[in-house]
Amino acid sequence: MAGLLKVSKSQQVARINAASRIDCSKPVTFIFDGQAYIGFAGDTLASALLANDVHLVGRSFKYHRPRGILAAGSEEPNALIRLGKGAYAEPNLRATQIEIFEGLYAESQNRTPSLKFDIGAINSVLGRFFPAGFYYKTFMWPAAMWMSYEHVIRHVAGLGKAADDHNDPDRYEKTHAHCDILVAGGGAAGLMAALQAACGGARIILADEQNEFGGWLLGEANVIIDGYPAVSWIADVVRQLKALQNVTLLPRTTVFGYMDHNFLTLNERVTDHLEKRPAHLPRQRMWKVRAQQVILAQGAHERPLVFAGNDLPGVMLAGAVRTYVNRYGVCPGKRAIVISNNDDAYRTALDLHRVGTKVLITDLRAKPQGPLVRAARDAGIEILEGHAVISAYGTRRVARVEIAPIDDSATAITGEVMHRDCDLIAMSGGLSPAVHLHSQARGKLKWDDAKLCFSPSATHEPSFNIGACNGSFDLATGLKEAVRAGTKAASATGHNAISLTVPDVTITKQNWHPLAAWKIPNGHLAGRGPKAFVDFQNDVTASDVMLAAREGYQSVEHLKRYTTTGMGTDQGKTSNINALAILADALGNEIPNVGTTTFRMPYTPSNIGAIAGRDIGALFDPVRLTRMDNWHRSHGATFEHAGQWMRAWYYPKENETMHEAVSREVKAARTTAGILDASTLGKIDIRGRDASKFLNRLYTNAWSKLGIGKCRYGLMLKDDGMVMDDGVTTRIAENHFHMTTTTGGATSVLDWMEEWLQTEWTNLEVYLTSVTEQWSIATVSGPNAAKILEDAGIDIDLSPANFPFMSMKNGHIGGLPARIFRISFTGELSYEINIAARHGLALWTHLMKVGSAHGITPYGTEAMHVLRAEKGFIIVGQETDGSVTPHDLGMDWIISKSKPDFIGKRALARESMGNDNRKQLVGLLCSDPKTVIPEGAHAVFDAEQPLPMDILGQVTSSYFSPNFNRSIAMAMLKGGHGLMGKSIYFPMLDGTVLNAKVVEPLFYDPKGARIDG
Amino acid sequence: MANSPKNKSMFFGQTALADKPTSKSINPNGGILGLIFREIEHLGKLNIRGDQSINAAVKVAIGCNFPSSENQFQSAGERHVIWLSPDEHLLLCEAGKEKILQDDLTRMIKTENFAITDVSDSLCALSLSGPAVRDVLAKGCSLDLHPSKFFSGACAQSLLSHAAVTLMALSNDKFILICRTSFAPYVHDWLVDASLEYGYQFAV
Repeated sequence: MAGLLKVSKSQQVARINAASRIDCSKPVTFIFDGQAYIGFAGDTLASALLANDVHLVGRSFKYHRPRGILAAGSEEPNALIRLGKGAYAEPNLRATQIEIFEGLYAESQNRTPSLKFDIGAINSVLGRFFPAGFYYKTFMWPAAMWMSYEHVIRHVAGLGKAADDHNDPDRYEKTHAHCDILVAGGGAAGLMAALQAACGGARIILADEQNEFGGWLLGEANVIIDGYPAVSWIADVVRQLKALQNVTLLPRTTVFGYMDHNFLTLNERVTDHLEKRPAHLPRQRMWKVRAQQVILAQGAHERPLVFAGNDLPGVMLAGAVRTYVNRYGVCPGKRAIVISNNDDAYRTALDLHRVGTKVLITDLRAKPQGPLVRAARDAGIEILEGHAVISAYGTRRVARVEIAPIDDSATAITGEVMHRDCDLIAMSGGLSPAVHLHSQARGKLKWDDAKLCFSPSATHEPSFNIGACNGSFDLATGLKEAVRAGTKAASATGHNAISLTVPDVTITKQNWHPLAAWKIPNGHLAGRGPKAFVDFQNDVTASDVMLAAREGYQSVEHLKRYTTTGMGTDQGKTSNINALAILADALGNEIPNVGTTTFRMPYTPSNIGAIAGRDIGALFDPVRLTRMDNWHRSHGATFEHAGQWMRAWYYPKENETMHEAVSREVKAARTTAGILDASTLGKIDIRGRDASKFLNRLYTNAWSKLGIGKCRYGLMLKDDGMVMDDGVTTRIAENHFHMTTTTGGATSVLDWMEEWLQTEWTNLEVYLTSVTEQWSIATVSGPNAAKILEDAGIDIDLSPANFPFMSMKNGHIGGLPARIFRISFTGELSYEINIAARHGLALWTHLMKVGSAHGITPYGTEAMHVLRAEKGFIIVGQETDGSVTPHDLGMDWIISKSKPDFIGKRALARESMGNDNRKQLVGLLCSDPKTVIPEGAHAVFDAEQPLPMDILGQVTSSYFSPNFNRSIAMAMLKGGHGLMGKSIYFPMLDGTVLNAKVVEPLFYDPKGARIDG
Repeated sequence: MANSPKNKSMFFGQTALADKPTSKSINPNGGILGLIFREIEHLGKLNIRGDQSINAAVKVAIGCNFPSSENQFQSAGERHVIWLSPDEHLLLCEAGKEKILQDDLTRMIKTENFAITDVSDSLCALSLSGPAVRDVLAKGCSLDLHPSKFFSGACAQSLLSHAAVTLMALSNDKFILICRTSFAPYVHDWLVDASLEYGYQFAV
């Protein structure tokens, strides 16, 4: 890769020779915007770019302003990268979290044609004309033009570009995990809590989003814990945790969601950091964790200060600068201005000074004091007390600043403006605890007026907040909380252990009370002068927030939607508190009264691939096949889905169209014999003393007097009186029935029956068992059906006298035990042969062999539909849609008048059920016998009436009937039973109109003469 | 056809995974395979519905009692009685024995309120073993499968990805998985996919 592209000449000019976490013996070549660079193993893309003095890494969302690297962690709003190529490309990844590897390919985003020269930057010049709510205000009119506006806006605005190929070739997995205690965050507090919690044997999962454990301490130079440098202490704790069987360590794993019942979702980046990704490992793995207790130790985010030009490349968070220096051995600037309202930034100043950077501190506080301030002074660092950077300038990187003295409340400039040149600004506006997970789980927050931050108060789930995410920024306090939470959480899960000694911490003392300075004055009226950004990712300025307040957006949730502050991939991790503080100020309200926006998952964006996991392709949904499936497949069947089942649809012979194949199959079933795989029918075995009583309540007709060995068709209603399912049920013995349901209704009908038995009719002695898959069914139908069964070696006398219609016999066919039902869905002589499923294929093959002499023809579900429609038999779910009663279907005969009750009886008695205008089942004959009216077509009396037309109803089933050589149809029409002989019309989409005559829905053999063959 | 059964398989008929050939993948990390699984062909299965009053007959006919706790099973040699609900158990027995046991139970149970149903062909049983068996199952099953919670003798009805399954832990690294026959090919394909990182073998 490096051979093709010229490596930058100024190699790693910002790299410093100091102790760090990178491995300088392992150079790594990577490509950013077509240019090859070298970094080291252990670098992030951000640190490696900074090492090469690259600060400009992207263009902003709205104004296309040049943007650099602000942070060093997952809160980064600016440095969004498109990583990889082609189908592997992924947009909007944070450069601060991307670990570099040999050949890594990265591109900046939101720039046309190039990062350095971007046409969209004109928006920045015209910025005065793009205030908050610009799009809402401008593109409101004319409404019809929005589609055109949107096309352009979407192209110019928006974040990143999705992969060029939408078939993601990477493998993703999901897994479930359970633990006693999940620790989210592996900094000092999280590590200590995990160690403590693990002592008593509790099952622990410790997850951290970084590539190594240690959190912010990895970027600190002068912290001693138990007599060792912090990084050594961390290494020792990690070693101890690794040795424990009951601890699962998950680095590179973001806890991104915290739901009810301590259910949390984690995204583990398994191989993202590897040059060669092993094929057997998923790229990412989503963990679905159910924890007894949760310890949150997510740390805190540093806040930017809001001053003019604070978004220039080279303006960074002070803590991040320190991390780049100490963790990555990169010095991001040679002449640095530190601007701060607190002590913490003095550490950055001292570390920069140590590595040779010229540093000037502007402290917003009038009289900063304490050991850190003293140390800076002693080191000879220039400190301007009560001063602020009021404006920063530069083109592609900060080059100079204006500094001015300010008043005690940091709201007004009080003296002369001075100018300084610089190439780095390290800013610190105080810390905001990362309360995201706590808040996602409905934990409460309280405003801390001294520390100027929201910290957790009451938790909603069984959980603990410790360390910086609890507002305890002081390391020693955080470790104390860790030991306490670890002990308590373990004890709550039944794992008691003696508390460990809280580690001894040596660190220069500081106070954690920043000065409230939410908007640095710059001497201009709001909305004038250079922009001071609150939300970098969404290009929201302080004046946008103030404008929104003036326009009446007083709720922080409305502010978010109107200005877009806090939206985007970072969800305002660095910006939210500043935005709501400025809003509070503009409203003359207190910050806690204004409150925060709702925290929602994900904490950081999670790849949709990881959420899908392996539920893709063939594993997306199970496909259920019958035992005879192999025969259908090898005989050229086409298939259709019936729920999860695949059913043979029709069996085209060479060159046959679907129409020809179906016609042949339908004709065969009426002239010789057809054979259907009906195995998917739902089958329920019903036993018990009260079985017939149960059926009486379940079905609309009467069952008590059904003879043993006899079959009966039944309609099942929901309690609202609407048809739910149908099927044939057979009495096997006095207290033993075999019920069949529709294929799709098999599960729901069994559940329905169990529900009644378990919740309402607990006194009935009835037991149900699903036997859907115990039996394979081959249905032989047609005049030759009996001959075929005889040739197949059946040991039952098939004469209608001995084996009449609607009866069942046990016997043998080909020597194997079988249950044979003489029932018919075609109107022909028909036998449904049920056989133990393991013999299903053998039965089918056998019948095909002996049946060939009698013209046996396999038919699929399409021919089955045509055959039943010729007889006017309904299909539940085709003629019915949950709003159809038996009366609507013309099936009053199936409603028992004598039974005291059945499910749906009361509903059927309602007055409206007798309304003549209900949709009722009819048959249709199209005036053109060759035309099949499309299913779903809407019927009208008058096709010339104005729109919207008065719709009579719709076609539910429509086929070409080869036995009549004409089309037939069934429809549900308003008052249909009274429309016999009437002419109705179907206006088609193409402007033509079809005409049909309403007839009885029974086209074939109305007397049922063919049932005995 | 089976007028003159030529061999055993002819007599026993087709199995749920008859179309899945033997297959395996190596353990990418070296070492033994993470998962070895096979179909327990023609295993007899009876669904037993009835309350504790039929336990005495069950004990005599099958050789073991109903399990004493929910979500557990009792074993007697090759036979397992699996708790499914307060009045539903599943019996696994030797291939071909199910009819005899069904008749025995029906004869021995003195009350009327029970149902013994042959579901041998309705359900498919798979034997799963190997050091990664719990990790593989955890990818599709939301239950806590840690040996301290899902111990030997424990069983549960749950989902394995999109298939309803009954899981039985025989030991730390040995399970029986029972699913509807028509879901068996999906379960097979899913297991093969999920064990990619551990190596597997499916033997007929």
